[in-house]
Amino acid sequence: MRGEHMLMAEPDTLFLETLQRYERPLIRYAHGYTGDVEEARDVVQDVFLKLSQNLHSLDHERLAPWLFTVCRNRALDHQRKHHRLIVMETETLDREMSASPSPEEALDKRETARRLRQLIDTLPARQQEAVRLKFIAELDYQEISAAMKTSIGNVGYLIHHGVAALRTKWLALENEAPAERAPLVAA
Amino acid sequence: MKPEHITAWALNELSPEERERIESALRDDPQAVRAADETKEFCNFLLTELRDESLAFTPEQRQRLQKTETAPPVAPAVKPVRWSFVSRFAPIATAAACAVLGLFLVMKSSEPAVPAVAAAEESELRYQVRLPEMREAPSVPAPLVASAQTQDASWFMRGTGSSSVTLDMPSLPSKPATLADQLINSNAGALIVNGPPSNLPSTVVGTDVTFGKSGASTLPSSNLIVAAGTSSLTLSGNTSSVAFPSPIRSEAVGSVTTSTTGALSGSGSLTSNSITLNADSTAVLAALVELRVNEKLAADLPVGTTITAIGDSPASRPLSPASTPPAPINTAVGLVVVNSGQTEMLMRDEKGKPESEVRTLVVGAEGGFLKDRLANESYTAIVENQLKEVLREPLSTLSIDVDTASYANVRRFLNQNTIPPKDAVRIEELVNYFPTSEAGPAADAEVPFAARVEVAACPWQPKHKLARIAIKGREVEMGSKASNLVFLVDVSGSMNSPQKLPLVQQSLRMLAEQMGEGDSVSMVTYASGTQVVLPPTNGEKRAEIIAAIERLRAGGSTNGAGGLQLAYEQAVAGFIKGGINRVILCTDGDFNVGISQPAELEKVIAQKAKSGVFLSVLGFGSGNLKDRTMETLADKGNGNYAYIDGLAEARKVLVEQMNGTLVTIAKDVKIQIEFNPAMVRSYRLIGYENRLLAKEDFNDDTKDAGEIGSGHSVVALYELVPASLPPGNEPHILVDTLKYQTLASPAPEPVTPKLTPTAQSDELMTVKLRYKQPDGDTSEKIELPVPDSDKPLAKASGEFKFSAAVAGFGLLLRDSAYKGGLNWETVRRLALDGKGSDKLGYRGEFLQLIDKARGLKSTHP
Repeated sequence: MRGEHMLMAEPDTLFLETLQRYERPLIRYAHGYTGDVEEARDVVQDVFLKLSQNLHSLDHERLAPWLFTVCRNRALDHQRKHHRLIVMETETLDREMSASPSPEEALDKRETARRLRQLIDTLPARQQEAVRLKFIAELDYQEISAAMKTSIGNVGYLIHHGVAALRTKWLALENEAPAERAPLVAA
Repeated sequence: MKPEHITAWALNELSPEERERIESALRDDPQAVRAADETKEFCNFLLTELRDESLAFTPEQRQRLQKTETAPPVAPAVKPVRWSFVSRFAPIATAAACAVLGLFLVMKSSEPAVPAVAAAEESELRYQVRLPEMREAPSVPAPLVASAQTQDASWFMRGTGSSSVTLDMPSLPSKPATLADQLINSNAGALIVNGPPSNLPSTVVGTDVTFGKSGASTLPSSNLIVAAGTSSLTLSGNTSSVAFPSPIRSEAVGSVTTSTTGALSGSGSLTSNSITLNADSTAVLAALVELRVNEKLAADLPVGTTITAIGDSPASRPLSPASTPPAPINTAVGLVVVNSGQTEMLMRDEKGKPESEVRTLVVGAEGGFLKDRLANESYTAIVENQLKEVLREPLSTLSIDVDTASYANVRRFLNQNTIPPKDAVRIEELVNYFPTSEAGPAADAEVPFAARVEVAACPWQPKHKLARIAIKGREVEMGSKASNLVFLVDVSGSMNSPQKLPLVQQSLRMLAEQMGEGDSVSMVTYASGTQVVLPPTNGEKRAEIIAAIERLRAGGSTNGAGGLQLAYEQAVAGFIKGGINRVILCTDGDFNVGISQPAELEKVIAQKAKSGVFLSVLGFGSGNLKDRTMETLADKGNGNYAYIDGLAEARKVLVEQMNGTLVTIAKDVKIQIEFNPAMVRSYRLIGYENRLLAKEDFNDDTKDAGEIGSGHSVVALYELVPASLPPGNEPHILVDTLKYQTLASPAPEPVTPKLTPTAQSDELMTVKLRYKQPDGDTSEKIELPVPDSDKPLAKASGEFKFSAAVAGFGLLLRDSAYKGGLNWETVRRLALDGKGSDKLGYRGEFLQLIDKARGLKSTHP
């Protein structure tokens, strides 16, 4: 999960390890922007191609921030190119292939994930970014601080407030009658 | 101990020492422990829920990447510096000293990363919006900087969702710029941006374009940007953000045209575009930005699109080039930011104007704008049913209607902060949107539905009564019947919008996931041509079906009739006797090639309906919605029509109520009511304006009528004027006395007919129903005499109140002449009283729509 184990790796091995380690977090992260798994894959594929070209010039300790910064920019470019909605609440669900044997469970889980993603979208921009990097990309504070070019203290602050706000919103959502959820989709 | 530390602790982001410290601090404070545990639990919940392992490369992609060669090594690695969180905040002096060191190290250690990050951002640079700097551009008037800031502000606001577009301000080339080969810029006149689609991003990105005076230009071919006006145009690559900095003389017209093939249109939708019009505070901006993509998509500004205007009094005027077909046109006044997607936008006043002058317009909320926006949506005009006198017209006959599209469409409008056009509000469809909690027929009952009638005081005319006739269809398990479904998907260019084709794909996937062995699914697409993209496939082969759905791409014109033909052929070929045979049409309803006259389509479809194949029409998208075509199709094709405004609605129609949508339990269901003139002076059917039948049609089995699906609830409401009320309370339609005959009315005073003995009973009316079995040709009839009732509204059942609330909601939205003393509060109270358990949440959502409508109606009377 952390970058340490890559320290001694040869570039090719490093590349493969990075690929293995970050493939899913990056695609998830890109998916948060594109709302479309195909596009997220394309974006991340570009990211890795770029990585392969730049691996020698990069600080191996800082691969994660680099990857996620490139990924974010690519995703946004991609999105602009394709004129996608930023928040694709109608898009995010049901795009993923169902990995679980029970469609119902998978649906439930996706539904929860979708709602959470929507809630994340309601946070202030910086908090959103930090929360995405933490919970979707699963970076640690240090990596996030590098990716967001801010202090670790600030990352701690952003994540704390992001998580607190998410929790409040989530609990409010849970406590409401299911009916009250609809506007979340609509708003 | 700051709260941040707890979160960091919960996320396991602390060093062992810090961890120890926090935990020892926690030991003394059970309350804090609980809070910490809750935080931890929630963090874990987030991590688990958001970790979706299915989001990964395809094996091919992975293999390809694994073979990628990397460039040679390698800078030496720098030793990692572990971050020290707690110590930074530690109160003790020594710790503070450490903290300073720690902080220093952190900062130090972040340095090597900077170039990498900067390199990462290189790609972004290409998309920077550059605004010309005024001092080097004498031809560009002064307030440019201010407008640039405004531009910046708008991007910043946009940034709540997405945008990383940054602004810098390089100097404007003193000569007219020719950038990236493709841009021709003339300060003196027209501006032409020209280039093949592939070049467009590089062409336009980061380009400053200034054009002076007035000018107009057109571009010869597909991919072009045309701008004309009196000010400066800046285009930022793919986002096509267009800024017209001020000052704008009395009138400036700038237009941007992109075509489907141009890079600006990309996927053909304008959803992520941003249009910014800046005006000097003293200038009146009457600018027109016409964004035309594929002639239709401009109307598809996303839900929540906000226009913010700062400026002087409105001076919008409709501007439409005479030669083009009616295209959606955005006109607005002052500083306008069309902001995609995000609703959280707050407009800052850049010009130091008082806050009161900052006007926020919501797309569509302003009269002229609304009209333009809706220019391409078509609705059949609804003429409300009038009060009819029982003596003259004792019979009221209608076909039932289980469509629900109007409600979803109304909801779409309200959620866009727009009052829906009156003709989009079909009250019966609003009422029938809500499944009722009433019981269906007994399992062994012969009649496939239960019918009940309730009478109570009318909420909007307390002296009148309201009769509610409710039909509830039998629940049939879908699994018990094999189904033969043909998805007929409109993949024409007009479907190329996030709210259309992608939503269609998701909807169909939902449906496909419920198919099983014995079911057959096939898919036909139509655009310019028609095509079978999925031959009849066993429902078990879900992956194949879903793959075919995923492959759908939009483009071309719309030969809907051809598609229908082919789809019906498919359905007939795979006909399952006794099963569900249905064509599911997904479209925005715009049939622009082939048979596109509703009348002709009706004929085609009515003829197809005889094959025993039913039709479901799912409407998608906005701005180009041909509501009328779709309703007609469903009506004539033995089917139903639902408008899918989002995934939630898709789930309602295709999952929760799939049986109702797909399984027909009775067809050609008609209602005829005979009123007792001794009890009722006059009556009015609420809604069902386009479902009225002639009284003779009731017993005529060749006359088509509505179908009831499994578990469907259908409600018809009548407002009744009791005979005991003195006449003259309701508007009379006076007809001249006949000149050549006296016997047969109409006459101003109706002849008094002879009443039968039954009229002296306490029966208010008799409700007669006719229906056919789904595969039958002859109808059966049931009769329900309804006794009078003086029930006050308060004593009415919850379902009665809820139906009345929804009808009232429609009356108010339509500004009906019959709304009487109704107000939003009454509607709300009734809905609340009738909400019931509301398991699926539809009614709770309705309550919110009431508030929305109420707010909109009060600000835009």
